[in-house]
Amino acid sequence: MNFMRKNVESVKLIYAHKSSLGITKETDDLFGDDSYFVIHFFSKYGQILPEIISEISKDYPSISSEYPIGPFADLGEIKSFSLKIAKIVGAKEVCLLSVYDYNNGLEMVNHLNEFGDVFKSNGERIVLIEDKIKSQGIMERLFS
Amino acid sequence: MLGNGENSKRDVQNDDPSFPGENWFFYWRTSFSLWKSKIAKIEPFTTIYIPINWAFHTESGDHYDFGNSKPETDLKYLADIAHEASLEIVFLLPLCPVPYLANGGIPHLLANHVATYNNGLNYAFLDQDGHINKFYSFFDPRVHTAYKRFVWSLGQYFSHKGINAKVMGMIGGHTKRLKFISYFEDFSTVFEKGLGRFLQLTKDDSSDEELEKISLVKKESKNQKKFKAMIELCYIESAEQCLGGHWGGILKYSFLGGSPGDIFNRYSGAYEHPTYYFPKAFEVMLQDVIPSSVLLSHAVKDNVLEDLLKEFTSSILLKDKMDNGIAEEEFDTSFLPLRFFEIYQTNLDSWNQVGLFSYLRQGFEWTYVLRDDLKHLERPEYASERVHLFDCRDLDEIEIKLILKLFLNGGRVILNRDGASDEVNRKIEAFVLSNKLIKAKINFTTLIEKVDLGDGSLVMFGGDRLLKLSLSKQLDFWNSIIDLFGVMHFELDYDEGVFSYTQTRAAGHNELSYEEIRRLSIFNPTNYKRKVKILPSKNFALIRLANNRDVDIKSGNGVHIELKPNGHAALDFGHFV
Repeated sequence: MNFMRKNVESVKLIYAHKSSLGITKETDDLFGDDSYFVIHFFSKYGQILPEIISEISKDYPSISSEYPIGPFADLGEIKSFSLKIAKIVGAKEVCLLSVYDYNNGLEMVNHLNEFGDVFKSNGERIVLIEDKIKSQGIMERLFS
Repeated sequence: MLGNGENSKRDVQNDDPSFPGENWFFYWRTSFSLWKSKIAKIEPFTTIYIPINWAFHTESGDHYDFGNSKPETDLKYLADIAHEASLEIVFLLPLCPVPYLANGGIPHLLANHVATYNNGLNYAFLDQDGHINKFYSFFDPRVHTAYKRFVWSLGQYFSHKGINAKVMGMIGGHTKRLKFISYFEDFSTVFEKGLGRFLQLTKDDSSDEELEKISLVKKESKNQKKFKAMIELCYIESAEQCLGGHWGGILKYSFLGGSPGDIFNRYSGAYEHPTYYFPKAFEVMLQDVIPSSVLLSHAVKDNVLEDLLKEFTSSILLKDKMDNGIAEEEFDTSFLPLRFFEIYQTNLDSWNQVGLFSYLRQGFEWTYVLRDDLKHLERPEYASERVHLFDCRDLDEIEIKLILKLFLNGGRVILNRDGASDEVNRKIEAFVLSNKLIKAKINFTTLIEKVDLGDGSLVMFGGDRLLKLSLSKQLDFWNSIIDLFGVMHFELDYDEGVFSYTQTRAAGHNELSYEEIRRLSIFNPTNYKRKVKILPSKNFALIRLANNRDVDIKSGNGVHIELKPNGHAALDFGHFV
C-alpha cells in the first residue's frame, strides 16, 4: 500500500526516551544518556513506512528506519527529522507527543471518534513554515 | 468448465454483534430471550465458541452471578439451547487480558494498574464497534486472587448444574515478525514490582559463574521471561484445578487488528481491507495459532477473509483435538493443514540470511510451521513425516539429544552445523560413531553430510558459506537439499495478490488409488480479477471442486482459474506417489 505518497493534512508521532523502551544505562551503553526513539509515526493513511524513513537516511546515518526509529540525540533532532518526513508526504503540520502524554490522553478516550483528541489536547503542533507562506493570500504577501 | 460461482452458506448472521466471527457468540451482547432464535440460525453439528466474560458475572469482584440476578449470565441455559440445536459448545476462558472486552475483561473494580507494552505505550485496541479497549495488568496480585475465586465459582457452577461442555483456556495474543506474542506480556510498574520481588526470592539460584557467562541484557530478559512464565502458569493452573473434568486444555488465539500498534493504522480506516489482513492471517497460521477476526468489522471480513478464517480455524482446531486424543475418528475424513517443514527458530534472521524463506516462497509458501522451542519433541509419542530444520547456534546439549532421538525414530532432519558449540559438535560426532553410521559427503556450494538410518535422514550443512552467495545460488542449494527428501507439491503460477494454501487428509474407502487427498484453497482478496494456473503434474489428479465463489475454472494442460474480486475456490486433488 502506498498511501503515504498522497498529501496528508498532518502527521503524528509518539516518541519515547530510551528508558521507556527497556534500554537502561546498566544494560546498554550503545546509546547516549539522552537518546530518544520514535515509536509510532503515522498519518490518516496509517503508519509511515520504513521506505519513506530511509529516504532521508543520508541526513541521519545512525538511525534505524525500522520502528522504533532512532536513536535521536534530543527532541530537537526528532523535530527536524519529523519536518523532513512531513515534507516528503506533503503534510502541513506535525504533532509530537511523548509516551507519557499519550498514555495520559488515552485514559480520557473510549471510542475511535475521540482518539484524535489524544493528540489534539496533549501534542505539540508544528506548522510547516513553507505552507504558512503558501496559505497567505496574494494581497497579504504583497503588503507583508 | 468444472464449476461456477455459488455463494457458500454462511453459518451465522453477519451483521449481528453477538456473532463477532468464526462462530463465537458474545452472550452478553444480546438479551437471553433472543439466544434461542439467534442460535437456531447456526448450522446444526457445528461448534459454537462462547468466550466467558468474567466482568459480566460480577459487580464487585467478590460475588458471582450465573443466572441468579441477570438471566444473560445463565450459561447452563445457553449450553442447553445449543445442545437442543445440535451444536457442539465450547466455552473459552481467557487466561490473560483480551482485546474484545473493556478493561481486557477484568472487572471494573479490579482495573487499577494499566498494562504496558514493551515500547512504554499502554495497550489499547479497537473492537468491532470502534470502542477503545485498554488492558489492566494480570500481574496485579489482587487480580490473580479474584481470578482464582472466579474460576473456582465457575467450576462449582458447571459441576452443580451438570453443564455438559468443555472449557478451553484461551491465551490471546498477536503476531509480530512471525512470532506469537501473548497479551500476558506486560512491562507496567506492577510487573516490574513483581519482578523485583521474584528476583529477590530467586537471588541464590544462579551461581556467580553463571552470571559471568551471560550478559546483563540477556540476564534481564531471561528473568523477565521466567517471571512472566511463572505468573502465566499460576493462571493456567488455577483454571485447570478449579474446572476439573470440564477443563479441555489451552487454545492460542492471535487477534487480527490486535497488535499493540494496530490502533494507529486502524483508526484512519485506510487499512481496514481484507488485503491487509490476509497475509497476517497466514502468518498466524504458520505458528499453529488460531487467527481470530472478532476485532474486525463485518464490512472488512464479509468476503473471502471470512471463508479463509473458517477453513483455518476448523483445521487448526481439529489438529488440536487430535493432539489431545479427542478426535481420532474425525482424522480420516477431515482436512488438516499440509505442512512439509517444521522450522525451529529463536531468530528468524539466521534462516533468512541463508535463503531458506526465499526458497519456500517460490514453491512451498505457507507449507511450514514455525516453532520457538523443542517442547513438543519431548513428547514420547511424537512422530512426524515433516522435515525438521534446526540451526545449531540455537541448540544446547539437551536439545541436540532430542533431535538425534527424533532422527533415530525415523525423523527427517536438516541441521545447520555452523555456530554449534563444542559440546553440541561432540554429541553429534559421538552419536554417529556409536551408531556406526556412515556419512555421505557432498561438496555442493558448502559441505553437506547425509546420514541415513531406517526411515530417518539427517542432513547437516555448513550455513556460513551460504551467507556470501547470491540468492540464486542459495536457492540452488535449497533445491538440492529439499530434493533429497522427495517433497512433492503443486506447481502454481498466479497473479499478485492471490493467496493459496493446502490441506490434506487420508484417502477414503472409494479413493484407494491415491496416497492422500489434498485440498488446494485459492483466494482473491483484491478488488480485481486474478488468474491462477495449476501446472500439470503426473503426481496429482483433480478429483472435485469442493467449494467455489465467483470463480471460473477450466481444465486442459493444467487447471486454469479466473477469480473475480473476493473469489474463492477449493479443489480436491488425489496424490499418487
